Amino acid sequence: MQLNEHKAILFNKLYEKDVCIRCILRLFKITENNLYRETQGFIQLLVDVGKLIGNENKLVEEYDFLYYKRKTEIIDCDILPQTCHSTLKDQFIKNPFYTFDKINKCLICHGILQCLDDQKFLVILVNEIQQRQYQFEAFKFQVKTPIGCQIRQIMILNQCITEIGSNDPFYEQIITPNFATDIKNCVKWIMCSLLSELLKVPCDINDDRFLICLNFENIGDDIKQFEQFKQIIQDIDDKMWEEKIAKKLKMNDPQLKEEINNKLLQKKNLQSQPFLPTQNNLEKISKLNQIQLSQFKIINVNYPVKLEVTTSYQNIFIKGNYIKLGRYISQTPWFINGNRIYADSIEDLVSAEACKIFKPSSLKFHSGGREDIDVRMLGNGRPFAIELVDPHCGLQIQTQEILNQIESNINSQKVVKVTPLQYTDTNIFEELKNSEINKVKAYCCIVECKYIVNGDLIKQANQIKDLIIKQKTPIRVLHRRTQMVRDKIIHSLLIKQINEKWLLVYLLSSAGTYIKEFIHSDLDRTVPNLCTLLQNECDIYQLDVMKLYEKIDDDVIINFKNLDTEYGSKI
Amino acid sequence: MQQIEEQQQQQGQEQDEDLMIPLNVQARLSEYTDRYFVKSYSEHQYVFQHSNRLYLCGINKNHPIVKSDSDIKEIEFTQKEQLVKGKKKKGGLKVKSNTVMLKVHLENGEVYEVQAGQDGYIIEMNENLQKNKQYLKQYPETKGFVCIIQGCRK
Repeated sequence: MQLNEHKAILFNKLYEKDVCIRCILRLFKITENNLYRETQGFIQLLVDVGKLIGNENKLVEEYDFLYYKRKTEIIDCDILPQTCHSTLKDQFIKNPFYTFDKINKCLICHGILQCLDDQKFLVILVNEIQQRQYQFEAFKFQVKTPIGCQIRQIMILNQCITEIGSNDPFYEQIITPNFATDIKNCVKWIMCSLLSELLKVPCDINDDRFLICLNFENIGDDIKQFEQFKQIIQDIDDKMWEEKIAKKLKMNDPQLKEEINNKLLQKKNLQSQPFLPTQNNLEKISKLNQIQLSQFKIINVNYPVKLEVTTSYQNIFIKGNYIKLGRYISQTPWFINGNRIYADSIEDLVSAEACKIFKPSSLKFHSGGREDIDVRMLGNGRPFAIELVDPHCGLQIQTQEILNQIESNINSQKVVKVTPLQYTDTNIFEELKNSEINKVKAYCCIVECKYIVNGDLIKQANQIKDLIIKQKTPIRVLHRRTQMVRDKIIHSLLIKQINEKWLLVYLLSSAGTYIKEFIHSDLDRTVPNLCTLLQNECDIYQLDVMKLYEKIDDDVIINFKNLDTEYGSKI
Repeated sequence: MQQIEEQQQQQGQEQDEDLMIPLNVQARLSEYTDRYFVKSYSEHQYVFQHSNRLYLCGINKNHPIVKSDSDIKEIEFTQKEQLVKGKKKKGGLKVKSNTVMLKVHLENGEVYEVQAGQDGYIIEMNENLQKNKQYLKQYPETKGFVCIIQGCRK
């Protein structure tokens, strides 16, 4: 980088205030990656700066080789800090990256940019990643840093500039917000090549599959940094609001009284709340001018930085249609008070093989609607998708062969079958939602009537087309669904008499119709219903979902009427 | 026994040892109300508890309204209607088991009061009773129910 006298003076100031060399380079907006990695070059830099300030060896004499900054006393870190987050205590104790605990800390980055080259640290980091047993051929790298560093950065720069005096245009440049290179970028420049050497795979920003995230956190410190700004930011906000109100007074805005009352209430609430370390608040603080900032001190707390490494692999989606041939199988595992009701579930049966192959961290089951537990799902099946979250073995080439293997494994079971499976992506959610809301469904059920059935009424019922029924929320689901009246349509009916009092009823209805309630009327809360149509008392014995259709049209009705011949014998 | 039953009803408890019918009778088709509900009776009224803990309340076959030869002239809803909103059924009218919900006027001039039968919040009054008054007399334990109540949270 090109040094001049003014830059050198600032460099020296920062160096004396215990800022590490990498942070100083960041503040000067150096963007050549190799300058951050060539730690040997730092010594030459210090010599050059020394020459310009008139004492060639001063900076080099005070230099700490291990931590890239001026030597200072290493202060013991507070292992059990008092913060308002009680959970933090445990986190600090379990921190495996102990290299950050006792170090000669840079005032701004608190060691984040200082310990990255350390061999011990790298070994722990690589171990941590490898023990999770992912298969990957490249990785994408992400970093998060604590927000408190930015506060200290703003304050230090402000202090230095006030002390030096802002006669050089470079100084004005440097204190504009967001001028400096971000800590995150520096970490990436340093770590990417180191990590890819050790993991033996390249680091590729365009490859979204495997993500390694280094999350540097220091919440206790963040809160302490932001605390002191609470009053001044509130005062500024209040002033701005008063100016807005003054304008509105001139315009005679009718909502004014309400606004003023709301604001006073808000103010009362804000008094007791802490000033949170958020991006929003950071922006407000960075807008403060030099004089305002000068009244604050840099609060240097000794909480060690905590590092959390998270790894994740891109989710795999598999879609298909499932058919349920048995009863008393829930769609997803069903627990009450920790006890499992019904041993099997469609989710388990369908995803068992896929989980063995891809080894996901967890599984999500999505479907286009669901059916009751005692209802079979026949015909072309109900569309579903399984989302394998964070598959450890996702690298395997996602071929059709693997899908065929999964499919044949599922179909070898008796109760659940699937149609040919396909890979898909997040677009499937729209399809499933669409299916739940729009698809027309054909059902078949066995109905028992209390009195002998009237044949004429059956013929009448079979002529029905698009009967609109109003259903109040069934009592059996009333405890968890909104009480309301739902309009549904029965497109077609086909009733066949088995004997005097037993009927086989085929229905074609719009999505979301409660079929059981249509048959037994749910204490007359569904009208009209089969009881009123046949002037009898009916009850449902068994229900199957026969088929799913995309939409209602004449072809569908013809197909529906023929369902009896198609499936009749199998029921 | 009757005294105890009455006491129990007044306290709003629905557990009655004599008449426990198990839930989920699947094997042989039984009436809709038998399948899902645990029934308990008091002298003139009943409280059926659904397996999802909602209560169905009304008058039973032994109530003088049902036994009388006279038809129902008018059913007066004595409580104001309060609409229930949302999944948690907020806004329902709070009642005690002895809150009078209906005043039933018969053709022969007799007037009977029907109580709620259970402590809790009213989710629904049976609207069919406005159009089809005879349900209360003909089908007291099914279509002629009086109200659906959500129990108080413990």
